[in-house]
Amino acid sequence: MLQLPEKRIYILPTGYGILFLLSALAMILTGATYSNNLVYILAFLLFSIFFISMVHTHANLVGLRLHLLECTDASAGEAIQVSVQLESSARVTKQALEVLALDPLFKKKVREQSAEGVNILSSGEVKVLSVRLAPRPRGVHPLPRLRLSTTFPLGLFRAWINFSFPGEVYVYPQPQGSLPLYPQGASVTQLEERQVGVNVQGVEFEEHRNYQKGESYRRIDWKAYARNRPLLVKRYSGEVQENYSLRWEDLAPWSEEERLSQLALWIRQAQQKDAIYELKLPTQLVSWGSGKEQFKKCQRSLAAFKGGAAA
Amino acid sequence: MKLIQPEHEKFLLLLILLNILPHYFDLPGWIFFSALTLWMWRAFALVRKIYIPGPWIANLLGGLFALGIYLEFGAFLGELATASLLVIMTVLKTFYLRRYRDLMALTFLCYFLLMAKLLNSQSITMSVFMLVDVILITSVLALYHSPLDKGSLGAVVKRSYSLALWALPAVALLFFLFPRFQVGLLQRSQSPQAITGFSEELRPGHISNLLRNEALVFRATFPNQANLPPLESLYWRGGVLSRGSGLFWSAQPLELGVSPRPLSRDSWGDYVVQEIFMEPTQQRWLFPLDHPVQISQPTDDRRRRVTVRDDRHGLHIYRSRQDLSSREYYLAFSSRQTPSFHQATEEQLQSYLEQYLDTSLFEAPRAVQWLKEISLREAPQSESDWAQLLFRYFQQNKFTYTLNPQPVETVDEFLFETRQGFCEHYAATGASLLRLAGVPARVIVGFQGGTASLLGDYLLVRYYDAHAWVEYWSSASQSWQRWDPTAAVEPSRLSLGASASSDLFAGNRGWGLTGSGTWVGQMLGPEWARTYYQARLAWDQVESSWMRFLMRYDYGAQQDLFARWGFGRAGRLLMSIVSAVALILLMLFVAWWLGRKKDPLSAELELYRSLNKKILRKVKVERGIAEGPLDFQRRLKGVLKPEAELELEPFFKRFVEARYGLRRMSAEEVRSWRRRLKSLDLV
Repeated sequence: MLQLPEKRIYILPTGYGILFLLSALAMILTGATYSNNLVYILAFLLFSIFFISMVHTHANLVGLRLHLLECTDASAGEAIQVSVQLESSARVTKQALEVLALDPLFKKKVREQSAEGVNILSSGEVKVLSVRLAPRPRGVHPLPRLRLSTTFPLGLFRAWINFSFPGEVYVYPQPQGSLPLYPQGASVTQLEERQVGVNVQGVEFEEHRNYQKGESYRRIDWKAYARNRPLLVKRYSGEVQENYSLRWEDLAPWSEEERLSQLALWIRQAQQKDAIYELKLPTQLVSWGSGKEQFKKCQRSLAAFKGGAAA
Repeated sequence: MKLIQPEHEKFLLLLILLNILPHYFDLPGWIFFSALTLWMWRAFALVRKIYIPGPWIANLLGGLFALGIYLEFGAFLGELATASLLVIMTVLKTFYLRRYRDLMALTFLCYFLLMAKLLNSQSITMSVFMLVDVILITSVLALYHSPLDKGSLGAVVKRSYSLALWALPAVALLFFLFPRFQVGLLQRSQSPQAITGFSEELRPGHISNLLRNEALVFRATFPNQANLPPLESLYWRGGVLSRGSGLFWSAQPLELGVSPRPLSRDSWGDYVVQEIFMEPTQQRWLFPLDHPVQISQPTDDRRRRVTVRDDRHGLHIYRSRQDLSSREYYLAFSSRQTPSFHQATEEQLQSYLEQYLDTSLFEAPRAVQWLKEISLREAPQSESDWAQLLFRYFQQNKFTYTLNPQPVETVDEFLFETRQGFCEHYAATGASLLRLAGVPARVIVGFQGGTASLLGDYLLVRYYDAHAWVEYWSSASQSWQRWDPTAAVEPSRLSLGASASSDLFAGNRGWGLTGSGTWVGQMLGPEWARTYYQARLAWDQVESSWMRFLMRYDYGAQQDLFARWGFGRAGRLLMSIVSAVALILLMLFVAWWLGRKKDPLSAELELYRSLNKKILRKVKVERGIAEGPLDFQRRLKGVLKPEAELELEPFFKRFVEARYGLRRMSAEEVRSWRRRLKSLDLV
């Protein structure tokens, strides 16, 4: 089996650890003042426990590895979830572990509260955790470092390993805007005149097909679901897939972020309608397509959009 | 993790109770019981929803208690005041228990509660309690940082037990090598509590009260003697009472006097060294053997040195500077010779002795009359003649020795009517009669004899060994001479001890039992009383060796140890480095020990190889060098008996999974497989 080099483990006393050490020192002073050997022994006992607990804290992280599974895309303002897999190759059971993101946007306190805890990890066990990141503005952000840490067994020391993963967090623009989705080729002014959206419904029920993530809930056959069948979507004869061309230049009078938000909203609406759509940005063209992949591709290009380049 | 769980609260409260209870023996009652009541209030709130005061009432109560403690002790410093404050504040702090921070603070306070108790008691029981308590406090600390599952409590305690166990070698090392120093940061408290003990006066019934007290006053060893000296020769000198009025004697600040020249070390002659371990008596009396020439605390800090010699007037007594609120340890040197006043001039001596002839307070007309008659009839020549005469009188006139005499007020009453009493009656009467006869005399109080330990290596002196005797002036030797009139009445008092010879303990005569011993004797019979006595001595043997170990090793003893190993002044620095290095080595060792199980593959391989060996031994089938486990298993088909094959099947499966897959064997699993494979019959 391939043995990867161990990550470096850092360790420092916690505030309580320092307090504990100071207590032991105070006891040594008391022992000296009263020439009381039993107090000395108590102080030395605490002193030794302090140092030995350090070794235990360190040992609690030996043989642990963290792997990145995936990082979900999110809209601006939404929390971001990072899935990681924690794996132990040590024989001893590990206890009281925490994984948290060293997220510069989180305050220290919030960061500690949002830490994901693992109580017990026996040898060879694998656990999947999801770590929360702070909401971010639109854009493509580097994945913050993740920290696996523990204060086991006494809380006097904190040992940690920092993991940095190559990866990015895509944050989509917030989907908002006043304009409805319109068929290909209308301009803002035309659109403001016709506020009614296109609503084409099929006439006759044709077949069931499996529901796919991202499709509109309204098309799910709930009655079928109630009969213990999987989630199915009704298809009607004569139903046509609409197509939309979502264009940056249509939204000319608006500011950059407003345009992006409107486009994001349209993409979402188009996706809900299971439509075919394309996205035209000044720097990039996402050609016709539909489904989840198209949705992700379009939203990501909005997220990655750099205003300066457009001008 | 940062939330307080009900279990945490429960264990913390129990822990606090455990650490408050031992303080019952030291703290003033009102403080202890207030703390206990507050604790019960808080604990009851865990079970039932009852009113819990907010921080403001805890603050208010804290203020009031602090005021009360200040009024009680006059200070916040000092062991008892600090312990009281700690106990009260810890209990009040439990009303604040909201966050992780409070939990940690309270747990740390428990360590300090334990330390405050250790300042007052260093018995072996307390030492064992300390160890257990540290494990428990550490367990609670561990509990906050470990998953709280059912049944994990035992594991948590076990872990802190192993932590403490690993710490022990480091503790031993630090104990001997950690450079001791001397500080005077904290003021030693003047304890308000006085245990029944000696006072600067003697009155009928005073010492007999002490005789019912079986508490230990001190232990003594005799480093320069092979055996314990005979008990009847041991007079532990405590105080000199020179202001007499019949049966009532008290210490008197004498106005002028001469001192005997202190004996120089080479004129001590045959001297006895005693190593004395005083219990905390809360008084200043020290008790060296008669006649003390020097007391020293061999190795202690100058600022803390307890002894002051009080010898301006030839009293030969010693006092400590402060009340003895903790165990103290000192060396006393006693000469067999009596210091003499040869160097004093005639006038100096005369005015000195006049003070010991003062009879102005005596009202004993019958005794004076009787002394005149005797003096005419017997014509004693010297002071010692007088002493012998009176001794004989006590011997021959049916005086009895009893702890419960009829109450007497005057010397006349005692001498001619009741004729029963205790050492204090005889000493007071003897000294009075000598003075009335014109012999300078004074009363000495202290202890006499003691109890030999089980192994005979030290002596226990208890309150019931209290004694009073007389010193008279001998002009022939120009010195004070000891005279013990009690010996005339009850000689066994000196050799067997007060309790053995008194009627109070008649049932256990000869066993030196009082208090609980009498009770055992009465309930279960003398045989049990004897066993009980032996058991107590045996326990004291253990207790005292621990105590002597703790008391003897201090700053000076450490210096001596370093010097013996050949390190001079640099020893302290060197030893600090050595102890630091040793601590690091210990940590490395622990790290190795913990990491020893790290290699996840070796244990399974070991199992598999031992199975291979067993198969080779039993059925002569060897695994090929590059043969995988599954191939080997296939090859074994039909070779082993079917049951064994069936047994081995899950092992092979599990081994392959552990060796080539992700699911490793835990240490427990490896152990259980090892057991199963060992007991397996292959053919």
